[in-house]
Amino acid sequence: MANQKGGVGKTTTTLALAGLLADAGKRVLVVDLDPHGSMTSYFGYDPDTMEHSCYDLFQHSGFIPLSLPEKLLRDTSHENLKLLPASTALAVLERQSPGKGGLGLVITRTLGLLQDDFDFALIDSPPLLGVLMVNALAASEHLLIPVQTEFLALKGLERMVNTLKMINRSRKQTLPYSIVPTLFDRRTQASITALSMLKKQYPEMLWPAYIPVDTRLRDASRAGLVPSRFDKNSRAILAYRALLKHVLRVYLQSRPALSAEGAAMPTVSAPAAEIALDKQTASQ
Amino acid sequence: MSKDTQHAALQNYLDELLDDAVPEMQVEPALSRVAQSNPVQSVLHIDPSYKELTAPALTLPQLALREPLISEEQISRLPVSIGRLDTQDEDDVQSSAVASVETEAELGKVSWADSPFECLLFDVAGLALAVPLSALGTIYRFEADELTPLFGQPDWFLGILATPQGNLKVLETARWVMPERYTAGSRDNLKYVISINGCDWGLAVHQVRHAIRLQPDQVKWRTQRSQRAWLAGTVIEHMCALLDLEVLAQLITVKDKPHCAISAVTGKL
Repeated sequence: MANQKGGVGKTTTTLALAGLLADAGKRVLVVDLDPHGSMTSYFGYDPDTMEHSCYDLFQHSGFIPLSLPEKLLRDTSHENLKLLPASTALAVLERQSPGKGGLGLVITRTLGLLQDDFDFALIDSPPLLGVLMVNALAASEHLLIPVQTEFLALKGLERMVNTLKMINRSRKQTLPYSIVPTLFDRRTQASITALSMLKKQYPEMLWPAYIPVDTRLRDASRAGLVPSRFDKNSRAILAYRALLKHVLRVYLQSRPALSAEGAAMPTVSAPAAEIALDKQTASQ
Repeated sequence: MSKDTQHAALQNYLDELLDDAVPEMQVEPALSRVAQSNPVQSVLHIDPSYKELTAPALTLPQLALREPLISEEQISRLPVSIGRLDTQDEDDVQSSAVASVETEAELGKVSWADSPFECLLFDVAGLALAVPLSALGTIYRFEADELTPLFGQPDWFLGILATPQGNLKVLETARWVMPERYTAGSRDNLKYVISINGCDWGLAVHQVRHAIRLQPDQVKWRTQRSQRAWLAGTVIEHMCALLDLEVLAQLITVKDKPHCAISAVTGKL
């Protein structure tokens, strides 16, 4: 989850999708790369006093000690969900190590070491372009860009898409992405206008629905529970469930060679998750 | 600063951050630390108690989440969707890798990858694999009832296939390359055995596709191979894993030796 604008719903989106996957029985890892540590706080940890966090991963010049990632994992309120926490120290990372070669692949390597322990990993990126965001993008197989449905957020989106192009150039790989309209309030003209502009400007990359404003998300945050555990029938969760199905579908479509022959495939078990989600929906 | 200059500076910054190379200095001290601790053990054996010390020096995972594995459809059919690697198997393979190949440095470069090379694509339990044609021997049709099983062999040994060129030991490739996803069904519908050049082993596979020509830069080469040393790299364009048959043959041979020794002793008794 990334966007160079803050407050667009990155953390909420990460936790909502992670919760749905975890509910479906998947082993899910959430990585908090934002020095603000919103996601870390969400689960009751204090990023200001965290002794060990993602920051530790960056202290080995791009080399990750084998057992370190596992030691950093923290439990959450969901039994299938683990957290790689953030700490405030992440904020000084850029100053300590400006543009060090290979430092953009620290999270990629970390996830490599944890790949047998999890089915899905979701990364909450900070809103600033820097070593942390580059790490988040480089480690991802699919990028979700949550965009608040308001005019100023559209400008931030343009910047994010340009950044992504440059990252793709450096990585010599194209990272597929989906734009997710968030905090949509149908009572306001600003939301309606922004959504209509998104449809016009990004017809192919836009998820053709939206996440509505929903106070249940805030309530879930206060309780420290993933939104689906707090209220699985809330409007926002129904929307997030649809988003997850969309993303899993896009994820497979971006690998036509795989879908066509059913041959080699990536590690994640998208259809299995989708089936599980369908079952959940049916049982409600 | 002009817009172009800013753009170039930013691109340089990103290029540098995403430079795939890890500074050599990070590897060397760790290796020398292991060598100092027990030079003989570090080269010839991996005592389990040394695993923690040696593994970080030799392990630098690639874009593991991007590596092609197994079809989604097949994953959903598996009784256990995604499980942990069997630790014992992994340790065995790792020990063999280190024992037989000695150091990471010897694995880094493959001689056939200096210029464009031909590869054969084939499938094993849904996993697409490629091998350089230069390392291939012959392709035989797999007939389960023509295999001669041998007592006391590892579970990945399917049996002996008599060929005009002599007896070929047949490896159950799926069990070897993805033990964590292996199911009894992985043994069904095997169709071919691909022999490895210069070695009396052959790989049992489900489907042989076609040959492709690859440029070295089409392959995402693995720079560290302490785990799955037989995996030379991945070819994103064809979503397949590229095997280093030379290393695979060494690993099989090393793992097979104890069993051969046991068989020989049993035979004498």
